[in-house]
Amino acid sequence: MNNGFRQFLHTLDGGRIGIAALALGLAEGALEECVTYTSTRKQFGRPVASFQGVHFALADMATEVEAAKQLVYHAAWLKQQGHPFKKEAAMAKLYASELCMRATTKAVQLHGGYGYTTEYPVERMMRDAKICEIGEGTSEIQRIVIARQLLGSLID
Amino acid sequence: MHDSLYFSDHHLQVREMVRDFAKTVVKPTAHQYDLESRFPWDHVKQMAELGLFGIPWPEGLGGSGMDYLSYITVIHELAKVDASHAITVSAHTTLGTSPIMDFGSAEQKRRFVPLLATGTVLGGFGLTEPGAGSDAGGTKTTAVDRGDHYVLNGSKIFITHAGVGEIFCITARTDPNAKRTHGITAFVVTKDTCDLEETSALASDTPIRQTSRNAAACCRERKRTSSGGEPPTRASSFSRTRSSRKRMSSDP
Repeated sequence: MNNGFRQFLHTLDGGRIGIAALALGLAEGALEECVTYTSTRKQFGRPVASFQGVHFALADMATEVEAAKQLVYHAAWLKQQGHPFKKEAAMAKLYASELCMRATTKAVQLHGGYGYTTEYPVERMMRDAKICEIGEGTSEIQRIVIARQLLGSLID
Repeated sequence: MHDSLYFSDHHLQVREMVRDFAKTVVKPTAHQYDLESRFPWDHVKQMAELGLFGIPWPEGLGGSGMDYLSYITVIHELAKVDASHAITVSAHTTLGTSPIMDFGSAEQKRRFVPLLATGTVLGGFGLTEPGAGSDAGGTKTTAVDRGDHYVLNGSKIFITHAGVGEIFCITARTDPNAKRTHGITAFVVTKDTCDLEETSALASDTPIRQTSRNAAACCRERKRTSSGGEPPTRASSFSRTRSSRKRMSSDP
């Protein structure tokens, strides 16, 4: 009785890794769609993936997806091993959810006008991405959780 | 990331199984479900058969007896093709079932977890209220002890699975004199004992297509006091999705 607040904070710590994994999946899915699309879509007589501007976008997405993967699976591993994981879960959720918003927005851009239609899945991915920055603790709340772990009793 | 860093052969088998399901079943149809804002019950049934609704829970409670990394892998793989399917597994497992596993009495686990872990019913979590989002300490929903039952009164909002789920973990204020974050208790609330309430689905273009804008809880179930001084099980319900918004009935 009367312990519900502490209990749901615990539940949300675990939930954050789940949302982080979801956001990671969205970002990686968007990257895969972009690799396929840009290597087949032709403009100016060649696949748009042959342009350096597209290289840069894909390289950034892939790098960030890799970083998110490390954060997500490391947080999950910490939880599984019984180690403290509050800070790492918040970091994974914060980074992966903000990444999936960036990555899916870029994915729509790389698809051009088609990306804005329901003909390709990237517009749905972009809509879905936004909730990752809000649900089960907003990005702002994640930053507060991380900062509290850093500062501890120094600011109490 | 090299697979060997975190994954065993078993994890890789789970990943292949889910990738195959995601690619052959979810990906070709996700677009249509989204357009129609329809909940994929047929896929939920298939995911239940694959054991995806009780991945980290013991087989004795109907779960798949796998580890947490397996669970995270499943969410990751589903989200690559459709975030809605991924959130169904995530909200059901982490939010709907884990509070009962982590904090429930033995009787609550025996009674609720097998239904959830086998995917017989879907679960959810009722924390957020119209006036209590990031500020969850501002919870206004009350739970009043009426001797052999509790009465929950209040309004919950943005509750994933409110329209489709049957077992929810709901927070309510049990000590009106306690300061903000104190005096809140979690209740298990079930649909079948619903007094009356209503939910209205959010607009069709939301990713979590069964998140409801307003899901109010009202509870009138007998306490199921268990032995050994464990807190009693309390239950109540959410209604199915309805088109109009109604306020909760008052304390009966």
